Amino acid sequence: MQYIWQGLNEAASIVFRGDVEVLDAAFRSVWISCFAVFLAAATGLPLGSWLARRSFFGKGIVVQLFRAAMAFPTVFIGLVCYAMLSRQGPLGGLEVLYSPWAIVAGEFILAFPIIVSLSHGAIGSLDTRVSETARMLGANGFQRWTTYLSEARIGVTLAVLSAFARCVTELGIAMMVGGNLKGRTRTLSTATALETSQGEFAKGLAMGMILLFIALTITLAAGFLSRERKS
Amino acid sequence: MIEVKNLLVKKSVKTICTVSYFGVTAGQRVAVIGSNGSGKTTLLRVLAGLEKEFTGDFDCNVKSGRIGFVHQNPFMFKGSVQSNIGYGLKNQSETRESQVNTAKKMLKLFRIEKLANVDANSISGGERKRVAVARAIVMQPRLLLLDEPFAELDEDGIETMHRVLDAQSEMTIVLTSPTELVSQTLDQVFELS
Repeated sequence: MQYIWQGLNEAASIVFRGDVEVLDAAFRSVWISCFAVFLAAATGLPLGSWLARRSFFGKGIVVQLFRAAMAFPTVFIGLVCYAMLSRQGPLGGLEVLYSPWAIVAGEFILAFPIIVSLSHGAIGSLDTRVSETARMLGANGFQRWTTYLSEARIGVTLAVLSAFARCVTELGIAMMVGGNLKGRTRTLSTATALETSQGEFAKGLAMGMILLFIALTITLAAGFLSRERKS
Repeated sequence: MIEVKNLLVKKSVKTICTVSYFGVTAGQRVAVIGSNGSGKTTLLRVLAGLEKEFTGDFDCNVKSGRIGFVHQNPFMFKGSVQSNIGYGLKNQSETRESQVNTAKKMLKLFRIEKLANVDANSISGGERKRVAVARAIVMQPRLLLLDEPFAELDEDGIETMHRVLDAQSEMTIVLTSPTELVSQTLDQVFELS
């Protein structure tokens, strides 16, 4: 118990001292996840909305596939990305393996089905009068879409926050395609794993604390929004 | 302007609306009356282009963008009453100032100025109806379709609604209503059995 207590004390001191390595990994984790989630939202929100408003043969299967993809293990996504981006892979020519961009690509694959599925659920549950009223008041396709997003904004925000929480805390993709290179691809999760395995328990704990803080902040924000929806 | 012949609307195997003939000429005020479940709302939805699955002949020479429709239980978008009234104008890329000014005029016309900045989803059913009709009239449609516009309105509301609708001389208005509320100013009353 004393070992854990001592580790926590040192971890707190590292966080408040502003350790360069820790801050570097934290900053990288955040920008990579933000960028991946931004790309996933830019593509996933239109697709989720389209799936919610259109009927076509096989739609149920497509929706189920996206739901299933939400549970993909990150190490599996990392493996697929590795196969695609490695020198022998079809995208090997891009030479992005072991760069932050490879992690962005992997996290995009992680976030995309989350945003598609959750936004599909949020927009699909909107009253049919939203679409009819907007249409009768002269809204074109794009204006109707922005109206859906506005009416389902809590659900849509929850979708984006959930995707971000999953991305910023994942380990498998960052480890497989990022390679945990110091100063280049080291993120909070990979650094936490590395430092702990090297016996630097306090440093690992410090990074874990930052990770936990980010995850808790997002969870609290999501919880606050859900409560607002209920009320 | 509108001509409907041998209209039949079915949901799975159930017939929900049958009309052998229904015709409206430009500028007319027409009431569609009938008991609950007689298909008044469905007929209005066909006229609005919201009901696509039907058989029969339907001829309407009004462009879809010039048709206004108000649901029996209107939907209010998130935001204030004023922003709801300005919604259609925003879609037409009108300036913010123009949206606000037009919304204010409409609020005054319907005697609900005090609701301007109130959350549109917190107002009563009658107020909601007035806002929805105001929101539709702002768009200056050639054909205005109103599903039970007098339901949930108090005496003052009914009087205001009649006054506003009577003033829309350029519009063709088709409304549904229970028999007892039909106004004397109507040109035609069409009964669905």
